[in-house]
Amino acid sequence: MSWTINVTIERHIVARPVTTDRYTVEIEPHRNILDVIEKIWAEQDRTLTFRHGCHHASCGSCAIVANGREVLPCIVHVEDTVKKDGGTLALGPLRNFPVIADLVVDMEPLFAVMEKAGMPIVGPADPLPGQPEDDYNAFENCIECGICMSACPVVATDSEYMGPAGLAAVYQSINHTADASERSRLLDMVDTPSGIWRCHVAYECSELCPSNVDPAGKIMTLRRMATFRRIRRLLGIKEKKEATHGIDTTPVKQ
Amino acid sequence: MSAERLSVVVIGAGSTGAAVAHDLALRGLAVTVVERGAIASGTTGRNHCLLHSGGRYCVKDQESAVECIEENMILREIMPHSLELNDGFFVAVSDSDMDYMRKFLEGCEACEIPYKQLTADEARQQEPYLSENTLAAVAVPDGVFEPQRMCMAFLATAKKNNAVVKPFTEVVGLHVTGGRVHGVRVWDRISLTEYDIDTDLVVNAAGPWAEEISAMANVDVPVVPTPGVMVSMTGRYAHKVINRLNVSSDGDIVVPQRETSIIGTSSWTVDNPDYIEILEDHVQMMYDRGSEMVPILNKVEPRGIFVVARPLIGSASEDEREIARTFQCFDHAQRDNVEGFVTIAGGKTTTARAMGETTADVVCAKLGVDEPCRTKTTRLLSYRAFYRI
Ligand SMILES: Cc1cc2nc3c(=O)[nH]c(=O)nc-3n(C[C@H](O)[C@H](O)[C@H](O)COP(=O)(O)OP(=O)(O)OC[C@H]3O[C@@H](n4cnc5c(N)ncnc54)[C@H](O)[C@@H]3O)c2cc1C
Ligand code: SF4
Repeated sequence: MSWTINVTIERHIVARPVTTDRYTVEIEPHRNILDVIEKIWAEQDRTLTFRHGCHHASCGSCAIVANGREVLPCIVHVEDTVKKDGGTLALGPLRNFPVIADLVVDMEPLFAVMEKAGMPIVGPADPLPGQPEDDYNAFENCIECGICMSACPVVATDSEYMGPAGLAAVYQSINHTADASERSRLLDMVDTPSGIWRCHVAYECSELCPSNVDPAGKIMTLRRMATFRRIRRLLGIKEKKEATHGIDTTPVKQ
Repeated sequence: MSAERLSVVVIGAGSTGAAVAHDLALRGLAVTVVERGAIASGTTGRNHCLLHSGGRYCVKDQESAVECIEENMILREIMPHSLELNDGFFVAVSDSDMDYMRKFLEGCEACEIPYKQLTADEARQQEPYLSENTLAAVAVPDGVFEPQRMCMAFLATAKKNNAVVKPFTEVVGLHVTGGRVHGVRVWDRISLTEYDIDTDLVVNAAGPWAEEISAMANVDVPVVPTPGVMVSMTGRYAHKVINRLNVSSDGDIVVPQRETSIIGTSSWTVDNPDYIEILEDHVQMMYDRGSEMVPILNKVEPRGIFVVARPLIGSASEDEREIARTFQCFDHAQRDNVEGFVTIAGGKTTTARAMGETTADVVCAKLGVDEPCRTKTTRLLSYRAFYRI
């Protein structure tokens, strides 16, 4: 049984004031919010702009604000957000990013931070549930969706702050390298007032991250690493070299 | 003739358009890519993310299989850090699967796909979530990509070579004078204004919308939009891609990606690929068939359910599974007496680079540009460079 829902979308159009447009959409409640958006574009309003790619929370490009919360609309059901037949769905672009049009924001600042952090794209895979560690590789969990940056109260007020995604990326980069001087350089990058020490521990990022990255947890770990490093330096203890995984990209061996 | 000043407009920024743009830019042409939505917002972004080894085609469509294994090996070289490379299994869970094994191994031999046979115990030791009914498995070099990021890597590299990439720019008309296409009329979806781009040649890489574009030059291309349903499940239960060791059928593959397992796919035809209704019985079929190989998939929650259309070449009357998965490049001067217009359609994301090469060869021959293809050995930039350049 389909629901009839009322959708409002913030319209950002170059050189025009921001307005809100209203649409009525018939859709099955277990469909996702991205289906609603695509249906509006296909059937009602060709001027609507939005970003999307994979429709399964892997490309990270569809992130928006729906009924006040940052979400990936490709994995959030209509019924979980709208709650009832006849209910309302209010959509707008991510916060803390420059808006290009409607639901489309400029992701360049986030990608620049990820590059600076040396964030790997592929790394050692986590073991399968209940199974021992093995030598496989997988894409990094962070899908660079920007949700944590949009939800973070510090990013909202301090443009110098590196932000949860970037700090979590530095943590991953440190984890992936065995080179002690590189690890130290990466830790230097975030052991600053606008780095790990700027976080207010609001935990919005970890709560809303759709990909289990837990940026806040990683920021806290980085703080411990920085603190231990200071103590080690005070006591004159040498940095420890830790082993990490390599990635074997050769195809099936005969 | 040198490539300087000669310009090409590529319509569509899916894997095909992105690879065509990269190849042409590398040969020195002035390339402009126009895409009506975001990068890879058509078929490419929403596909199954399988870097094919060719195993799925090695019995019935060996031409495609050979293309796949060749391109698979090339992509490992040119985008080495952007692929999940854990190989794939073809698993037998029934007697009829076991009967298919001999044909499959012959197919792998014929197409030069590296493989390794495993007993049921060996297979389940490596992939413990495989069904207890597993009878045997064959390992092949399947992999997993991120289709949108793959397009961005091709396009970032194209931009480095002076290509201009315009997302949210929809082609609304082709300018044709005296039987020659010499420009496109586009609608800028950001400013909601229209303008013209003059060019020496237009490449139509609009995937399942290729027919809509070619109709703007009164040319017909036989592209059949052929959708398939995919279901991404919560949790990863295999490191390898798990294929059914049998003739291709619905729900016969589970692609692990990051922390999910994507079950796919099905096949039917539609007229309009803009918004495709998800068929509930196809979704159920994914759970049922996927869990024949990996039983836990019947017990975990779906995360994303999605559908998208293949741009297969053929006529709507043909059986959609029989339509070849290879690609075709149409020079409309030869075929329809329309100059300056080339369509590339069919194929797969795995073979996008080869599609780019074939198309760029045709385009360069038409424009009299004598530059070799260099994409086999050119390392792509990271997709993260896309916004920076
Ligand atoms: C269900 C399914 C699963 C698949 N799984 C795999 C897989 O696992 N591995 C694999 O290698 N291949 C797979 N494929 C095949 C592969 O996805 C396609 O062959 C490939 O993505 C086609 O790319 P394309 O660039 O030709 O088309 P598209 O990606 O559709 O690109 C065409 C682009 O043109 C744009 N466009 C349309 N009209 C206009 C216009 N008027 N103006 C401007 N732009 C326009 C569209 O927005 C679109 O982005 C799968 C296909 C399907 C359907
Ligand atoms: S950390 Fe999570 S929320 Fe932040 S960009 Fe990465 S995936 Fe998105």
